[in-house]
Amino acid sequence: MMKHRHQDFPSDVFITLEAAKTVIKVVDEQGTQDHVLTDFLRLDMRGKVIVSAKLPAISTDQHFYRSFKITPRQLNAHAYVNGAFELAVDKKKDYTVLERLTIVIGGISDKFNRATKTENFLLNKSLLDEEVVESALKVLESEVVPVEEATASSPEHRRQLAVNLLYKTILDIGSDAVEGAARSGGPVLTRPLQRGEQDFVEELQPAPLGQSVRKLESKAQTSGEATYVNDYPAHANELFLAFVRAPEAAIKVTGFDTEEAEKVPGFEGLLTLKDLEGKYTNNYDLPIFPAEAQTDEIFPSNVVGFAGQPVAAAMANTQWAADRAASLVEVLFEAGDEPIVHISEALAKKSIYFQDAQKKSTEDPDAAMAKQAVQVEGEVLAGEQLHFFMESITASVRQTEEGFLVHAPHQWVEGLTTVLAKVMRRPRSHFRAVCPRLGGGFGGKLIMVDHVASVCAIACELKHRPCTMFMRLDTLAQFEQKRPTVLAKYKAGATSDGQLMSVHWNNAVDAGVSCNFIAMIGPEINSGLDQGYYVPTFKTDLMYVRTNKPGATAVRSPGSAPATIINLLMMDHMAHGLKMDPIEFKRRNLYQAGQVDQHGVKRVNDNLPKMWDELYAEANIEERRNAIEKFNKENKYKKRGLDISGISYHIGYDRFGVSEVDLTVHMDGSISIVHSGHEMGQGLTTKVAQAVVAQLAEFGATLDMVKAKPTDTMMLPQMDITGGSATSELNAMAAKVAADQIKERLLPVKETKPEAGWNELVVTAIMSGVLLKAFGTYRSKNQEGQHARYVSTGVGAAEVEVDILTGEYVVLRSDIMMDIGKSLNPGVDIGQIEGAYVFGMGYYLTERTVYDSDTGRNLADGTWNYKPPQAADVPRDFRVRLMKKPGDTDSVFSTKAIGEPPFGLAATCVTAIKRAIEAFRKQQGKPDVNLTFELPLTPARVLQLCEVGAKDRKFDTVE
Amino acid sequence: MEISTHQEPFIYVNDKRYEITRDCDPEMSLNDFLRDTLNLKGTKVMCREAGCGCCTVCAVYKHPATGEIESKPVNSCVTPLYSAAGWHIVTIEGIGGRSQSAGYHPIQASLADGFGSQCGYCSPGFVMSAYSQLRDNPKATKLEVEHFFDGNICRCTGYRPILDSMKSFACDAGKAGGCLEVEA
Repeated sequence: MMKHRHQDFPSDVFITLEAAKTVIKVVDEQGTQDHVLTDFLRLDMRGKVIVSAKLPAISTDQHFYRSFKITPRQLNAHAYVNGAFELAVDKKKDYTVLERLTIVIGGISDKFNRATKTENFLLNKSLLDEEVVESALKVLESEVVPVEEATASSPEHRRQLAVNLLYKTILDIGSDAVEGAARSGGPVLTRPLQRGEQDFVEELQPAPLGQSVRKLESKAQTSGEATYVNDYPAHANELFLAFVRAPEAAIKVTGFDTEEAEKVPGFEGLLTLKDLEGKYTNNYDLPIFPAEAQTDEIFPSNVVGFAGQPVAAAMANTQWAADRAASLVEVLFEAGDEPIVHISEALAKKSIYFQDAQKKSTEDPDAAMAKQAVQVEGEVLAGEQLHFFMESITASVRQTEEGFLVHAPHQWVEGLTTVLAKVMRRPRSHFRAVCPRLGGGFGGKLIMVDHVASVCAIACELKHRPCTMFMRLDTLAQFEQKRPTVLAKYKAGATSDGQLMSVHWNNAVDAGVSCNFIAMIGPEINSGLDQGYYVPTFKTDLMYVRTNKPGATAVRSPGSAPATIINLLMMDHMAHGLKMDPIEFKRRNLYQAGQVDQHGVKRVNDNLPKMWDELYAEANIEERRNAIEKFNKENKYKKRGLDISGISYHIGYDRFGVSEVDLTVHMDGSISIVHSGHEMGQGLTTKVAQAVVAQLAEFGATLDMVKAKPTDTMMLPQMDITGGSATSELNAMAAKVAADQIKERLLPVKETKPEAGWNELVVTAIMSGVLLKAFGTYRSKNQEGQHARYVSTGVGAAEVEVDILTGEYVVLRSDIMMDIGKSLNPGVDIGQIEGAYVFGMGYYLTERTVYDSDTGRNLADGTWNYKPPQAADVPRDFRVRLMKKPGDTDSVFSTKAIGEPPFGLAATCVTAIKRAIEAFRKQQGKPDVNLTFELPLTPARVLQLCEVGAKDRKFDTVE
Repeated sequence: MEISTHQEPFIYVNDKRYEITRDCDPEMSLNDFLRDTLNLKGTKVMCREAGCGCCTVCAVYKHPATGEIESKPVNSCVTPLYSAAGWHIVTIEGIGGRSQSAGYHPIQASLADGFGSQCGYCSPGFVMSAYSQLRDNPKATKLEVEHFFDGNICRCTGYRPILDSMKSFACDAGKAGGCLEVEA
């Protein structure tokens, strides 16, 4: 019925049943009728029901049935193109087609289901006759005419897929008779059972700090006991809000028609700009931004910036009613200019905020470039990424005599209260914000939550009711500040023997409708463009362009994630220019100890070459590369590729506030901690508890005594933001400072009672007036320059297999080695590595936004069109190693931050896929060019890069 | 098994029977009923379009054609409450917990011990997907267990620790694990 209603839908059920020659029984008042499925699609189904379906048995061994579904993500995705084929052949007579075969192809258009011309053409012809096959594929190519559809892949891509699927079917059915290497085109990719290895040594300083212990709250989480903000029971009389979204960008709102919304039971009206006027500040930007960059309005007072921007909020007695009402409010508007939704469009129209001052090496980069024997020029476009946290943006506000109490998943509740004080025009002391935990943060739960909490606070005061908003996913995806599109242009030069000497960068970042937070991220992108490789001379430019999209923001590894892929593809291009093996080229240019990088940091104890060589040996790279070469020779339409890369991630201790831990030892010996680290899954609470117990273990304290309480602005004023990966170690240090105070107070008591265990000691201390509550803080003394920085480094290898006829790929194996210093909790840190890597696979491979050029709306606003990785997409063999015997580092506990650094290693999957495509192109004698493509490298883009044409669809291998 | 009739629709949640009242909104989802009416907040909600899996619960029902009792993971966010009339729903609270006599369920404990939860928001959904399918097929192989999670998204872990924890319940998991007896 889905296909019946939406005839352009690539229904898997329809194609498989249709190819199986299914007949359905449809009943209405008139009686029962049988229909084949193509007739059923034309049937007026009003007053009718399907009662049964009959699938004829495939009776003889001459019959074959194949079905395919080619998707942007392995599972839980609708097809670009799907196809089902049913045919009978006489194997003894050169695979002659005996009956009219059935070819059903979906994803083409609302009119096209059966390839009837091709079906007729193939009747009585031999599938082993190359000319027949070539002609049949031509017939199919001409009768398949895919329609343009914004969220689908290009018509050309879908046409090519359709043709390849028929060819694939023929190869598979005729596999016994087909020559060796071409046989590989028949089967679909296989995905072996997933497995993993984790290799680490615990560095105790002292125990339990450094031990691999499970997170304190993990059982509460896996049993559903862990409480998130939207799990709090609703207050009596609570009012729920939902944003009314601008239908188009660049319009001017003139009013609202609420007639339909008012029919929703429980609807309580609209909150609009008018309600704010004169009472509240219509701006939710952090006061730490420069005044001229504080341009983000709660509701737009003039022109709407982007489609999906909140222009009002619907209020209702339940979240469901608020969501429903908001979707029914009609926004009245005057049309405006055409929205700008693409970075290159913005550049062409000179829609630019400003340009960062150029950074360059002391030695003249132009003079150095001129000297280089080999030079390459190119560009890389890396697309957007959503945070896609599992817990949506939400906030809950209630008002009491003392002011406003806010509960929100937020990465900086201190910042939130500052914003609210500005919006509500009240003293900061009137606000208290509490964050129990976040269901994922990734840099997204800062500014967006400020916006939502501001609206809730306003409604709370105006309506005298507690107010909550839990944002729907489609609203979120349109409203969401994302990882920005980055367009990088480079010129790189190297000596003829492969020494990288100079790279010049001219980059642009899509800031969207406002340019504040992104102006802090931009420099991180540009200064990370060297990653693992030394470039003696360089210059970098960066410009911020304005488009009609939400303002860009931090998404896990905000600077390094785009920088890594841009760097890697530049290195790849350079190696291509040098006609050198990219792995050898990269190994040659890895940072060595003593070199100064683009950040200006001198690499002391740089372990990149050491880790590279260890990984190369331990992961059997040499043998595997030989095996890949052999595999590629034996398989014409399946290709494997492998690549290695090295990354650097700079960590700063120059922070916005102070890391704080409040520690209380209770009379019964149990311990409460409150930390400023906003727990979002990174295991920060557990590391803080480990640091506390490490200091108190000598008295008998143990980890199971510790209970963490929500992060709270009342207890931790002027606290630091949680982000940049270093928050865990900084809070662990604050915890140590707090625990040391307790330790100091307990020592004299212990002297009086040397035999006393923990509980007795605590009771004795408290009874004798010793205060067992301490407040520990930590802030790096040197906030500037090198001292406050160190580098987390890593190397990674990825091996992939690509199905050349479909563009699908599987990451067969990933090996990672990270130098993260002395890990505070290896189990937690390995989780961060694996998580960052897979988050990166989403960014580099499958997650893609699509903007409607007329309205400016992001059409990938749900799980239907936006595809983060799932379990089936992760490396089938996933091995993580922490470098052993790390040296001392200029960081607390000699540990190194881990939440974001490994992200960029996933970029290696892209170049591994590139290797596989190159292997096919080389085999087929296609031009040897450096392949260029936009990111993410989706299966659709892979297929386009393979450029499979009629010449390539031959049974025999071209030598 | 008691079957709901049109006259008095009811639903079982964690072995407790609830009438579905006449004035219940026909569009009310099973998720809203669990979370807002019964205050069972262990079942999460996010996408409201069956695309993320955090709202997964176990539905036990008699198959209308075969008459067999089946247990299947369902996305409670897109399941209208009325369509679940007569079903026995098991939620994350129904299988184990800190204050329950049997303590945490082995699936909950295994996921926690294996570092399978980070932010934790997806965890109840993963646990209930595994629970429902192991209940239906206690002799699942590792490969089958791996395919349990085609409807669940985790943004934090990279899945490896989740898959490892869950595969310990597969029949072919070797000494360390083994088949799980999930009580029906």
